[in-house]
Order: sequence, then C-alpha cells, then structure tokens
Amino acid sequence: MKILIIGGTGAIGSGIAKELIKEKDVNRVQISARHIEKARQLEKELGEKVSVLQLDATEANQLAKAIKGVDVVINCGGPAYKIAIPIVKTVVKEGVNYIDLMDDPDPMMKVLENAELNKAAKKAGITVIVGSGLTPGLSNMLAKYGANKLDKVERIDVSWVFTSVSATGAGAAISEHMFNVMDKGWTYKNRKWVEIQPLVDGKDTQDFLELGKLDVYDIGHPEPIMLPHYVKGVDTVTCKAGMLPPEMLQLYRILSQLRLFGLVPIEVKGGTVMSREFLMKHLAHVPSETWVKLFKLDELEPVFELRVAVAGEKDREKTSYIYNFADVSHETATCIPTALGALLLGRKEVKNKGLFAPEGCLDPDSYIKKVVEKGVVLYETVQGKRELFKP
Amino acid sequence: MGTLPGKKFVWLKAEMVSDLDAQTLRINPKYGKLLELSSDSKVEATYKNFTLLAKVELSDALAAGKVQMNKKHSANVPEGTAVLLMKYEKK
Repeated sequence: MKILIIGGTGAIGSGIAKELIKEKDVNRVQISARHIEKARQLEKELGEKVSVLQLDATEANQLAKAIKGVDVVINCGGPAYKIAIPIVKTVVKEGVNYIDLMDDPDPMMKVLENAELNKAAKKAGITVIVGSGLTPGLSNMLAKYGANKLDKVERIDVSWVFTSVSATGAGAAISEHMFNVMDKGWTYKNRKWVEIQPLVDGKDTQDFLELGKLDVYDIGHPEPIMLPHYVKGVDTVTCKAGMLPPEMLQLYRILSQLRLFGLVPIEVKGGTVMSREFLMKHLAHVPSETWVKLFKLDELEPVFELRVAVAGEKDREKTSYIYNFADVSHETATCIPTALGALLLGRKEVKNKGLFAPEGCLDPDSYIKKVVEKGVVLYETVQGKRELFKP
Repeated sequence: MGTLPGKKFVWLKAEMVSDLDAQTLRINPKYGKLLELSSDSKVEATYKNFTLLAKVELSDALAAGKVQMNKKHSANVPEGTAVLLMKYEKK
C-alpha cells in the first residue's frame, strides 16, 4: 500500500507516518511538504519506508501528478478553510481514496452538501472521508456509537478543554484554524443550524476526567455540521470548548468579540491589513516569558480532554452515554484515528463510495475497538457510572 | 488545541538534587510526551542568560511542574524558579 501525506512534516503528519510504517502492508509513505528540508530530516529519522516530495498541494496539476499510483491520500495540511476544498476536488477528479482532518465548519458544510462532488466520487469508485482526526473524527464516531445504542437520540454534546501548557507549539496552520473557529461557527438546535458567537454563547458546566467541572462555550467546530447528516432524528448537536487558566479563555473571548480573529480588512497608512493575519504575525513573536505570566504556564499541567455526551431514550427510559478522553495533548489521539481510517481505505475495507464524514461510512463498533487497541484510552459513563471503556 | 504559536515549550520549577550528573535533567514523563522526547533526545533548559543542553531522564516519581537538576547549577538557577524547557534541535 502506498500512502501520500500532504503536510506531513508537522507533529500530526509525522505522527501519522510513524503509525503507518508499523504496518506490514504499508510499503511506502510519501511525505509531501512545501519546504523540503524538514521532510528530509523526517525521511532520515523514519527509515526506508518513507520518502519525501516537494509539493504545493493546492496546485491541482502538481497534486494530480503526485497522486498517480497512490492508494490513499491523507491531508494534514491546513488551515482547512483555505486549502481543503481544492484538494478534495483534485483527488475526486483523479479517483484516489482520501482522508483528512478537516476541522473548519465552512468547508465541511460546502463538502457534505456538494451533491455533484459526491456523485463524482461514487462514479470514480472512491471514498472521501473528511474530518477524521480526534475532533472532529473520533468524537463523531463515539457520538454515533452512543447514538446506535439508543432508540431515539435527542442531543449530542461534544466538548474539549485544554490547559495553556498543552497549547504551545502551534504551527501557523493550527493557529489560523483556531482563530477561525473562535471567530464564527454554527450549532445545531431544534433541527436547524444557528450561528453562534464563539466562547460567548452556549455556556455549560461539564465534568471532565482530570480537570473536573469546567465551564465550556460554543466554538465553531464542525461536529454540529457533520453529525445531523448521519444521526437520524437528532434534535441538537453542540461543540463547546473550555480553557485553563480562565484568563486564557477571557483573552480569546475578548479578541473574538472585537472581531480580531476575523478576516476583517483594516486600513493602515494607505495599506490594508487583515486582523487575523496581523494577530498571527504579532503573536508568533511574543516571547514565551509573556505567555508564562499571562497564561500561568508554570502553574498548570499539560492536559487536553475530549468529552462526547449522547442523550435520548432507550426502552422508553431517558438514557445517556458519555465518553471521555484525556492526555497531555490532542496529538496522539489525532494521529491514531487518521492512520486507522487510511489503513481501512487502503485495505478496501470501506465499502461505501462517495463523500462522507467518518460516521457516515465507517462502522463505529469495530473502529472504536481498533482505536482503543492502538492505545487511545477512553472512559464510558452510563447512567452516571464511569468505567474504563472496553468495546 | 494549539493556540500559542512557535515551538513547544514548558516552564518547570527547578529542584536541585545530587543524584543526577550535571548534563542530565529529570522530568515527569508527561512532559517527555508533550515535547515528543525519545530516549536519545536532548533538551535546552534556559533561565535568563544561562542555557544548558542536557539529556533527559523521565521519572514517574517526580511531581509534575518540576525539573530536577544537579545542584552545581544552583549558582545559575535559583531553587524553585521556573526554567524554560524545549526539545533541542540542531540548527
């Protein structure tokens, strides 16, 4: 099996490559990057199964040439709102299976509602899976897993929380993505998509594994766009975020309310600056000592947590299932599900052809079982009783 | 989720000990995982103008939030102050 990873030199792309080269049936993992030097270092580090390729994947001709003879394309490049749609269009045109980490709501809406693209993927006999990391990705699969156990699904609440210590080291694409989802988004309420003010609307207090009870707020992640397509009859789907220390959340909330995360053109001395781009440039040069003081980096532990709650009726009784995950960061649990999805595609184990979110084409039972076997530790709470999840 | 741009780093409070050599630091494994340190990785520890390039020993017994270093370094790093730790990468 030959796999191409677009944007493979970051923490996620290289982590996925490390997962893939463990597999006997993976002969070649090609890591593409716009700048080849870092990729060359990885090639040296990861051994003979890995090769590198200089590629600007947003250039359709370059990408079309690069994916000839490839079994699966994994797109770890970002931010999704800038680059994902042209890449999806090229892989569909070239008829190559595809999986990505699409985590922005706007391209997600555009892709899942694109009947023409879906038809073309079906006709090409390929499967395109969008949004298949940890969140979205494993979050959706856990929601679907819980939903399948209910007779009627009323609501799905996805949330993630993190400490400042786990949030350092963001590449430009991740920062841009985070600024995008803190600028705008949608929630699904009473079977309709409703625009939200991120980090302001939808306040809730939820219980997490390590961080305990924390306030979370709506964020513009794509789960509320994705899950209503595949969970029949669901009334409400939310995605919320929380941060520690509270000063971090407060700063981002203010920046969001001032629309500084937006792509708002600002006239400065005859030129135009986009507010988000200004923030990106400026924050990249803030010394770490400043972050320590602002976000208490010397007082907190590194923690990232995901929580997925599914509520509804079973045998005419109100029932809920809650899934929790905690680690020092989101990275390992992003790499494992993505690599697994790519392997399932490469092994031709995904029978549905067309364009899907993961919960639309993968079997949640076997998928979650494999994710747990590969080392992602999950907890399940049923009717208030939490236990280590052994699917 | 990453919101702080740049390289991954942690700030840990220094604890001086005598059971480590001067070129080794001891940290809790959760920081090793966060900084993606493997057994042969080195870290750069910085306090003001003092920088130490060191090997890392991971120990579950060490509380989170702390880095242990040989007490020879106490002239440069006051006990209990926070030290910046990053994975060392060849420039």
